[in-house]
Amino acid sequence: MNYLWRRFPSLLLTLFLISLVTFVVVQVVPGDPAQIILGTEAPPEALADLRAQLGLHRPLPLQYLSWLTGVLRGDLGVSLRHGRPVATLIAERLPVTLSLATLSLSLAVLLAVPLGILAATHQHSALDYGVLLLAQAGLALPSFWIGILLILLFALSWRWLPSGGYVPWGESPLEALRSLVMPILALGLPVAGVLARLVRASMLEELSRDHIRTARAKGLSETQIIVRHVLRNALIPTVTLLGLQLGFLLGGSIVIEQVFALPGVGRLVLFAINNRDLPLIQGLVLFIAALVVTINFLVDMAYTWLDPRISLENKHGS
Amino acid sequence: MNARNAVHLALLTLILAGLLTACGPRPEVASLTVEGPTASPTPSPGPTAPTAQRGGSLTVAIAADVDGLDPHKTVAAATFQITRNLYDTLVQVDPQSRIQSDLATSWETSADGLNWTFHLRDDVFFHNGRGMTAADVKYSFERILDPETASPRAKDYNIMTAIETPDDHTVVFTLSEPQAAFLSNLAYGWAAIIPREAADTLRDHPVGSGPFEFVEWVPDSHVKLRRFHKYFLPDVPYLDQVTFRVISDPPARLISLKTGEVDVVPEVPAQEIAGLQEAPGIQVIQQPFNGIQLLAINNARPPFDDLRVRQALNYAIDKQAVIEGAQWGNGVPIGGHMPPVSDFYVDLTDRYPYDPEKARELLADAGYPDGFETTIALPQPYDFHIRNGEVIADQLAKVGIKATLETIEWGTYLEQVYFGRDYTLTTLGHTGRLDPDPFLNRYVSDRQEDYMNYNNPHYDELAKEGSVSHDPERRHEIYAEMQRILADDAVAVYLLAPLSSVGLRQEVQGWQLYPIDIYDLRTVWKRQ
Repeated sequence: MNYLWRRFPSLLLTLFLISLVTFVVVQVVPGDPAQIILGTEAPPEALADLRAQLGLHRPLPLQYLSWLTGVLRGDLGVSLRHGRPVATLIAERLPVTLSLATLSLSLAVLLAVPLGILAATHQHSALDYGVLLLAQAGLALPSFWIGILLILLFALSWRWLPSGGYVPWGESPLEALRSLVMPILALGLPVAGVLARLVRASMLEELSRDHIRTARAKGLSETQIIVRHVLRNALIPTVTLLGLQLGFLLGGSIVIEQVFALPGVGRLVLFAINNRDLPLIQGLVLFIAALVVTINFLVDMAYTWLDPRISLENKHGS
Repeated sequence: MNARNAVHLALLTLILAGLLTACGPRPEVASLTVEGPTASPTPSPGPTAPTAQRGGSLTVAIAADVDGLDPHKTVAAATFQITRNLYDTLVQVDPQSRIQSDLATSWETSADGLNWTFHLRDDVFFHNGRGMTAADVKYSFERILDPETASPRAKDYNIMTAIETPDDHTVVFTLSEPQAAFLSNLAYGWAAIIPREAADTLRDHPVGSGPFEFVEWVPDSHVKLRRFHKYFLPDVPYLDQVTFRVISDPPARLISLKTGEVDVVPEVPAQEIAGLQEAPGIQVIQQPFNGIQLLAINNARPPFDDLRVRQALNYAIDKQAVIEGAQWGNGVPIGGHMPPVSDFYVDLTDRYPYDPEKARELLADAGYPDGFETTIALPQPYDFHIRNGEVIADQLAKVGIKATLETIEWGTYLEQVYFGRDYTLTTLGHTGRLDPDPFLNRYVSDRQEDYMNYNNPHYDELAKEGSVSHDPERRHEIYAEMQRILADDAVAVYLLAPLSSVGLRQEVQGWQLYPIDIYDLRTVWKRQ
């Protein structure tokens, strides 16, 4: 708990700086939401009215301050293009992206950890090389390309799965899963590749340690050694990587949501940036930053569980 | 092929018949388009045309989500494509660009063109069950003009000085000055008639009097509509339900058409048309689009402030090669700033035939015997404009002009190139208005739309006269002359008019293409 309280101010400062940088970057990048709304065919006389209506005529520091005070009151503002609260827009799309991210990550873990362990315990065998080859392939193939291949196979040729779209879990869990199978594979397989290699490498490193030789000498069975002594230690870098991969998954979901027509947060990010919808960009960046910061925090907590020697109190002090 | 020729002949006959009736006493009661397949110029009329079948549901893939469903508060094409089915307007445009009756059965204008009287149907109901009256028409235009509404299209109607309702089914508009485009301005989706009581929630819960009523809008996913049983025209629409599904990825849109998950993809990219025509169970219909693509020239920036250089550019570009190379043959060459589908179009394609030798002479004459270096700004993500630019750069190299291609993201492009006029050459397109005035007035020197920096007082005067004249013959003369002036001054390189291409499942019938960006589903039905 102490640790949490000590980290809290720096977390807030991080989020504040991120929001400030985002605001400045959006201002520096050319592009005016009112111009984008009107395009080339609307009467440009409407431009000034529209800018005023969107609140873009106010001085920049004032725009930022009013946004900041709103956030402190728990109000992320209203999207320029959607005309609806940013928080509502994010909340509506969150289930899609969260399902996608957590299920992809789960798939990656379920595939990568056993395969990594098998490869490490059978080093230099055909199995080992097979896993390495698969992992390398998963790593090399971009998500969107896997996605298109999956659509061609499962939707166009075999007609097993819908080529895109999303059915909410509440409406039909089966259809929801069917609509997510291909996106999960497309997003999860590359992560599984990275993860499998890492699990294998850290397992091998642990296996070569002195205390493992001692354990073997004591007559412990191989399974006991793997589960009790090797795996736990080997999982520490894995957990770190998982935390980092979440950022990759959020980035990847922008592309994958586009390919599979999923109404998620990723699509919203793209929409917000293309339309220079500042309140929406700010809200999304803040939300995603908060999410990543929270995940990193949870990863830190997981270390203590995996390895009691790691103490967050000390780590912070040192 | 014989069958196709027969269809073309039938279509031609119908168009001719339509033109003849259009010349007769106006206005006509009830529109040709929506009377059902027997009387309507559907894409495949003819003696053997099948009778429309009632029922079924249709799924249309759309590239972008709607920008809300309040027709008075947006300029988004994605919204108006759909709202045609939810709302009605006083008059409407048919596939042949003629103005037809919609909520108004007839109308007349005073001799000075300042008073317009519209007689309304008395059998129109809103989706909330209330009958529509003249008060709703008055309210709708007052709402558009109210600064509180901040309608981006308010400027189109601010010549209205008074709206009177002598009785429940008559509306009289008084204008501050005659406006030639007034009638056609009432046919756009943003002139929709709405019920006052629903005005505040139209964005998310649209209520109109259109052929379909609203079921749900799940943002970024779909918009669902169902047949409105009290729609004022009997028999239409045929479909029970329509879903517009947002699929922003172009390959994904086409795959979902091939798998049958969607029935219609309204905008098929040029490079995909040939493949789709081969695909089993799918038909592609094509029609010249009410729009043009051009290579815009910044007329104020050297060396393009020199007429000879601009003309050289026009001679140096092989438009047919651009159509073949950049649009896979899907387009027709043009010579001026109007599409061939327009009644006001003048064929100027022979003004600058492809002649690289002549281009080199003109360049030498202007002091550039060895050519020069320049840049072409290309708007991302519009790949058809980008491809036009790529082919053009290749052609310009042959006369010594080395063009660097600069791809610019749309938001940035609008600020720098279009509104900021900070460019030399750029590929762009202009679309979808019914009157020639909004097409051609962007070259008027004091207008913000004059991004090519064209400045010709004579042209400005003609534009002014054309916009207020209500003598059709004089207007034709004026707009013909304006098109000729633009071509003579080589203000831009007018490249091509693209084709609209719609991909449909075989069983979908009656889909029609309109000169404005709408998907009108009243005539659409599904073979069961």
